[in-house]
Amino acid sequence: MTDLLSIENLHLEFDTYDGLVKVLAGVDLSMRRGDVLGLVGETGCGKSITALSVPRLIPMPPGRITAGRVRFDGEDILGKSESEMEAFRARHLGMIFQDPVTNLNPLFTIREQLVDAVLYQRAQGKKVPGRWRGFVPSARQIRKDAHERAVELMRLTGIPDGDRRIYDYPHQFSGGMRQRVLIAMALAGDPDLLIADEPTTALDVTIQAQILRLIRSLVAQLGLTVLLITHNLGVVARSCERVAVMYAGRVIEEAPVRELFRNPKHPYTRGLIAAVPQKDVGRGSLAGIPGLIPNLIDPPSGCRFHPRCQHAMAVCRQTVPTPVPVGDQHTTACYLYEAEA
Amino acid sequence: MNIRFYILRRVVLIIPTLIGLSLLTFAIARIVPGDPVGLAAGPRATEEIKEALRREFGLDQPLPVQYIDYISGLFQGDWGQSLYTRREVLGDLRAFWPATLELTTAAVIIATLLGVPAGVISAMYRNRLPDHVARVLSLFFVSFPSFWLAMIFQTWFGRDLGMLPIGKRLPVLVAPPQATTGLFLVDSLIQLDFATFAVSLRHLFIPALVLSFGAFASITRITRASMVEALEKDFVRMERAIGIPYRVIIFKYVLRNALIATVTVVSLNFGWLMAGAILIETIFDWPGLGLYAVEASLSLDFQPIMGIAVLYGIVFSVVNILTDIVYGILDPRIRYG
Repeated sequence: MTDLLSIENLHLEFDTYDGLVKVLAGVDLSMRRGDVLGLVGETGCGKSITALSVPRLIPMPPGRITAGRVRFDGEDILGKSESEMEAFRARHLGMIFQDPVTNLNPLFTIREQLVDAVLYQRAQGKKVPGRWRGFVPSARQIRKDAHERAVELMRLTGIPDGDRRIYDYPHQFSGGMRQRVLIAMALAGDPDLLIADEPTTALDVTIQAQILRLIRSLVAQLGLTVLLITHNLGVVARSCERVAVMYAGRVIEEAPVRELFRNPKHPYTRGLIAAVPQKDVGRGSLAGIPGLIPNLIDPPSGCRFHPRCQHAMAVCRQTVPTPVPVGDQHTTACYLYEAEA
Repeated sequence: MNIRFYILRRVVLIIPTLIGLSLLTFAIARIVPGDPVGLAAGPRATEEIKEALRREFGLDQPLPVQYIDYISGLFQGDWGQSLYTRREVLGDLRAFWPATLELTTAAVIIATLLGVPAGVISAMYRNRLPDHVARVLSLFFVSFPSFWLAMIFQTWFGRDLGMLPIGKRLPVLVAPPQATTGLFLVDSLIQLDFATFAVSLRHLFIPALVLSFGAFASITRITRASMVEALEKDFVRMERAIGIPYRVIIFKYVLRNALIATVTVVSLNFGWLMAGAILIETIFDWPGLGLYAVEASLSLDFQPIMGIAVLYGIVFSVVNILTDIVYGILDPRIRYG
């Protein structure tokens, strides 16, 4: 079986006034149908950029892909034209973002936005009958079906009174409800892949839990394939099957969730997991990883983590480590494990 | 709150505005330096003649009484008389105002129809060739004085090419359509007189085009700026990510966000153009209110001045209400707020 999504050796730079920022330096990631993969890392490690490279929504310029491939179902995405991409996004992708307040258009009713999501995702780049063609019977039927589908999506995402509230505007909904609307829009055309970029970060903790529960139940009901981007290890532990950890533009470790939390290998992953506050440890200083995230205009040579790594060896400064298997479906890019492999 | 109540509230709110306006125009007309009666009566008038004139215009009464008289007159259609021509102000306004309204409205329509698409294209092709062209054009049109462009256009289109008339609303030998609104285009359509419609459209074209240039520039600039701002919004990325085509995003979702600022500028321009049409009216021999207003103010003819001020005040209030209503239609948060 081919992978649904495979990102191979993706290199991406941003042209800024200060210089070229090498944001992604060889990202490798693959997902199969039905996977729920968590992509974790700290702010600025490139996880959102990786996610946005799939629908190709990174503005270019200033962004530039210098090497690598992104394939979806075996098809090369990077070579597609912009209009092919529009059809591709409509057909295969759904995406939800961090802030449900700014991601809905404030001037249009939920109905207008949700029905358009249904119509255009179903049309997949072909023409959609506009509202002004309401007098044409076939167009009218298409729009009526889309409306029913929209109400159904609201029910599916747990918005009460969908048939009535669909006529409301975004500002009449709470943050959690708006995120549900956005999930409904993303799912409108039964996407093959749902990309969730920090979907709970802007929400209250109780609402976070509700949204995560919703995503889990949708995965169970619809068999969704989800790429979940977050900096929160707790979110990953509760929602994902597999985790990929990113550091400074590379995936440095990948494993099933339990395996990663029980048996982290890469020194960075170990530091991350050790830094999660424990409720039984009591007061005292929080554990952390010494040092700062590297400057990506002039990144460290070799392994980008070596300046902060207590196990750094001479080889770490010179060459980039490639991922090696360290257990069942568990790989890490670190020279400490080179001998074992 | 539904839209009908919103509109009603806007309309009610202009009553205090108009009362304030009437007080202001009344006060200004009484405060202007110089002695209007003396001017009207001429240098060799005796004190008795001046006194009689004062009594005739009610200027011997206490100010509050004068104000009440003035207001009740306004409602009864008595807007006073010119000191010089002795003609009814309201009649004069009826005669001159429609020409200015027609000219200004045409200019605003041209500026909007050209400016909004230019701004949208500019924003879509930001920092590329179409954007530069639109920017240079709008800078060009704001920078040139309209009276100069007016004469250039008269020379080119009117004299050299002989395509269009160089002035007036209609040729001398064509009778104006029967006056219903005083707007020749509208009146001739009502009469189904398409020949007159065509002729007055030809006469209107150059003056309205020249008058529209400044407004075109500012409408283009503001549309471009607010489109660029709206294109950076998160929901644009979301809509693209879930597969809504870019042209739908631009023309449906983004444009509406940008149009709120544009509507503001269009309505402001309408006011500016109406006040600023005088130069164009003079150059094109356009029998509008501008010339009438200037003559009245130069000769301290206070009744026409007050009449014009009240008329402009009403027009501005109406434009403001329309603007507010359009805001309410465009942005539900304003309507419900």
